[in-house]
Amino acid sequence: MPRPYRKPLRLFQRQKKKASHSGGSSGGQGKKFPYPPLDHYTFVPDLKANLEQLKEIFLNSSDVVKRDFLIGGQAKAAIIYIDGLADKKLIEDTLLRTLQHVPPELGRALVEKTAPLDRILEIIVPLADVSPIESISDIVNHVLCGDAVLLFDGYTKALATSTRSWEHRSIDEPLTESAVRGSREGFVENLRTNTALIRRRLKTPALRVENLCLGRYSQTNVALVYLHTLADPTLLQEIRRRLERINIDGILESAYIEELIEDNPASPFPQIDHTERPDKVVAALLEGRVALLIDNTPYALIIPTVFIQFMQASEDYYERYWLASFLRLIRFVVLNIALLLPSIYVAVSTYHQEMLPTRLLIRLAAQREGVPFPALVEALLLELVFEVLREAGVRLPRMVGQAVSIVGALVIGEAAVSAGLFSPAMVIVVALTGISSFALPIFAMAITIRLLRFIMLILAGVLGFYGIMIGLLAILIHLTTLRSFGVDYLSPVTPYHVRDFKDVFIRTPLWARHTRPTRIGYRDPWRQDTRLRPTPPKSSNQDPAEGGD
Amino acid sequence: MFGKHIRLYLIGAVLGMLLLTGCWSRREIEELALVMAAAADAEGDNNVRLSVFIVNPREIGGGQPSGSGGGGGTNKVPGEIVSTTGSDFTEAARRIEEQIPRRLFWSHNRVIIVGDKLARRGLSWLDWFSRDRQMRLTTPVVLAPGEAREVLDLPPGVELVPGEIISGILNNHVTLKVELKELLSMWQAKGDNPVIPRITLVSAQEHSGSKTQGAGGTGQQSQEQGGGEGRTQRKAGPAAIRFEGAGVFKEGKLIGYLDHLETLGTMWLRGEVKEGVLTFNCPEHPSERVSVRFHRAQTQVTPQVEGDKITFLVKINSEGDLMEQTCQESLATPEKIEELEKALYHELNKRVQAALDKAQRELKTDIFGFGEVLHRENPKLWRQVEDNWNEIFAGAEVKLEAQVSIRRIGMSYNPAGGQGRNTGGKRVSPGGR
Repeated sequence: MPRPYRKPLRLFQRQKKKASHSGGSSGGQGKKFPYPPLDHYTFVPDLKANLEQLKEIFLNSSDVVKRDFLIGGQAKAAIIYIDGLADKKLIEDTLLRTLQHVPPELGRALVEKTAPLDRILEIIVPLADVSPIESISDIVNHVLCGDAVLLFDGYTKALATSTRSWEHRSIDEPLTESAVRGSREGFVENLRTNTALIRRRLKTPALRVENLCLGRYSQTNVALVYLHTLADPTLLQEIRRRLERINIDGILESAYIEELIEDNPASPFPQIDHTERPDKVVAALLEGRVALLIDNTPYALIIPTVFIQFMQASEDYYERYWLASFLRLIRFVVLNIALLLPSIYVAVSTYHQEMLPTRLLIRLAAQREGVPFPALVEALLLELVFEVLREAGVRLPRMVGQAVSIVGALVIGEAAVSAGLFSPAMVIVVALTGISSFALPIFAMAITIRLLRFIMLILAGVLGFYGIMIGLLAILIHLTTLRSFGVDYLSPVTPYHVRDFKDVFIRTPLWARHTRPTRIGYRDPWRQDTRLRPTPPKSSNQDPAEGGD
Repeated sequence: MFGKHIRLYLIGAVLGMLLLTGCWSRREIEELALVMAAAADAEGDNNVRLSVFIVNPREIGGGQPSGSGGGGGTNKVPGEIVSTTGSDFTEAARRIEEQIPRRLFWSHNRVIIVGDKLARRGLSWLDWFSRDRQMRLTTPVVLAPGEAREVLDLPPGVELVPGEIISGILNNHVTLKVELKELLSMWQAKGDNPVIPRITLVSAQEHSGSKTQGAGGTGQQSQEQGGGEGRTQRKAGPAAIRFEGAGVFKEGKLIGYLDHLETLGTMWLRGEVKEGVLTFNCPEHPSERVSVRFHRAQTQVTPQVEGDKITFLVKINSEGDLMEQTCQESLATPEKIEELEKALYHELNKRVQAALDKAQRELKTDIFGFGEVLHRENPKLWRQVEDNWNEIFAGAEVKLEAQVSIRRIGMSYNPAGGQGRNTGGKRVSPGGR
């Protein structure tokens, strides 16, 4: 059943030369932390010299705080941290106060080196999360991450204490994926909070969080999160390989990583899903997928992703399955409307008038009397207007955005029609299409569909239904060749996995969904007991309510 | 130059080629002249006349809110009639396009009206209507006794377009309806001959007079309005149409007409009756009437061959509801209903016999498709008789076995206005009847 990672088929094989070149360069980078490299600085057993070096490295930045103090009134030491990233209160109230007030004997021991440093530190440092460091570059790393680093005179060892604490947004309702029923927690920009959100939902040691640091300047923390028992090791290896390739100055959003690791960079289709909802990530992890959490963004990436995931909303699983299945089917209708309705309208009204019922044809013809543009131009113009309106509404502050949509609706809906520039039917078609594209649950897919709609529209305007079929076939062929980390994009429809159909066009009840997706969760296919369907006991002649009385 | 992005260039080139066709055969909706009714006539000795009714979508489709405010005062003209002659219909259609600013579009044609003279010349003249890509084989074909063109002059009524009026009546199931494809198959089959319904033009007076007082009044009014404002021909044109009778074709040529009764009989024999009303005299009071409406009728024809003699057994099964009776009978007992059913059978038989007599004695033409039944049932015999089937048909015997039953008698089993004449007030609930 397990299939090794397969490279997507390509029309033309890329030149071998290029591949070897990129491999070589990525090998050279290795761990490039921090940037620019600080290899020429050496840690010396002289506190003053070390502080001079650090001062030079940090270029006297105003937010770097450095404080000399005496441990137990005897041993010279210094603490260095970044204001705003480290918890000032913790450093001042706990760390400094304790260290300054340790018994003088201990301080003397530190100066005279009568006991090993580690042993003394174990006694005197009042914090739990500490790590010893032995190089200047590590000191810099820890300081930049918000740790406070203790340096001791006479030692080539420093101690990083985890004091990371900075202002951040509190956990909020996910704005882009709100649900009527379900958790109202959404990811925030803080990576640790996000991993905690997942950990809280999966209290198992099998949940593994692997850390990586990407971006030369940004040094963004990326967490590879998966369930150790479920995730495909070859998949993990492939993800790590692709992540390690990344050599970029900064990672500002999960989209950077998405764009740098996806299988087919030329495809208009999103090949990696992203979400703000921890429950959605957990559901994916339980299927054997892998999540990538990126610091400073509230979005998690889900790998691998197949097409059908863009038709699924997390709420599907929280509503009754009848309704959820109905909504699922509606979404497929909506997908087709969003992609094809203007094209079909244009094709039918300019090429295939015989397909319309007579009365509809007469009505449409009457509306089009006097419209100065051909149907194709009319559709393109209106779609363009709609896109402009949408774009304006998205970027503007909420208050102004409303005004824009009102003006837009009035101007386009009323004025343009009564001025005879557009036919009312076309306005309806474009409006319906626009609304449909918003009804798709995942925005990334909705914008792809919107883009393809223009291509389909032109094809329909040029060749009629023939053009639509050409376009649809091209899309279909593209989708069947597309893969996300080796998993076919259209699975389980093609390749056909009948067991996985329980969650494609309809959402089967929870008690009937025994298995994980065939290609993704094959390491442990059974997710639950097969006799979960609730069956109340055959009622005896006594009513339980009465019996309890 | 290409090397690096050859895929991109290739895809771009292929997509670009699609655009090269440049909207080939594109026709905008508003550039079409929608033909909603077509009339085919013979003109002179060898020429034909093609007349089309082209709708004016602006007037009947609601149209733009711009310009004309309510459209109340404006002159509503549902369409335009264009008529040309030519040596054949293609030429005539070409000439029509010389006269109107739009391209003719035939896919929405609602009816083909064939003039008497052309029908006598032969059905082969309809070739163009079945060959052209835009034509639909589901278009009904009707026969006009005089000039087919005159039918297009129908004034707008409930429906605005003559094509809609005619197809609407045909869909009422009150008359024979023959679509182009049925006509063609009847014509082609050796054991069948085409019968197509005939339109009769009705004058204004007759039209409104045949209706109830109220409806007649408004009809008259709209007629005057139409006459005053509409096209000039309309004053002379018909007020309405009625379907009455049918034309019979033999060897692709019109040879005669059936009257109303014979047409109804033909419909029964062809199994075309889906629903309909039979009105007949009361069994005991011949001056009074009973009407029964059928909603399920089935005709089954079986040929029986004994030596040289071919007999057709026609079984008609039908069920109906009593709609009206003026004979003041109480229908509370099954016997009464059986009496009615017997009378019903006689009425049915009368119609069928009328059609049979006409077809066998007068026209000597198998217009019921009996030959095709024989063809299916006994192909060996058929091959012997097919060449002079119509003569053999004229001598064949036809037996009618009709099973007619009245299922429901409506909301009252006793007549209005007191007790029934015979039952003496014995009120038995009809129960499951």
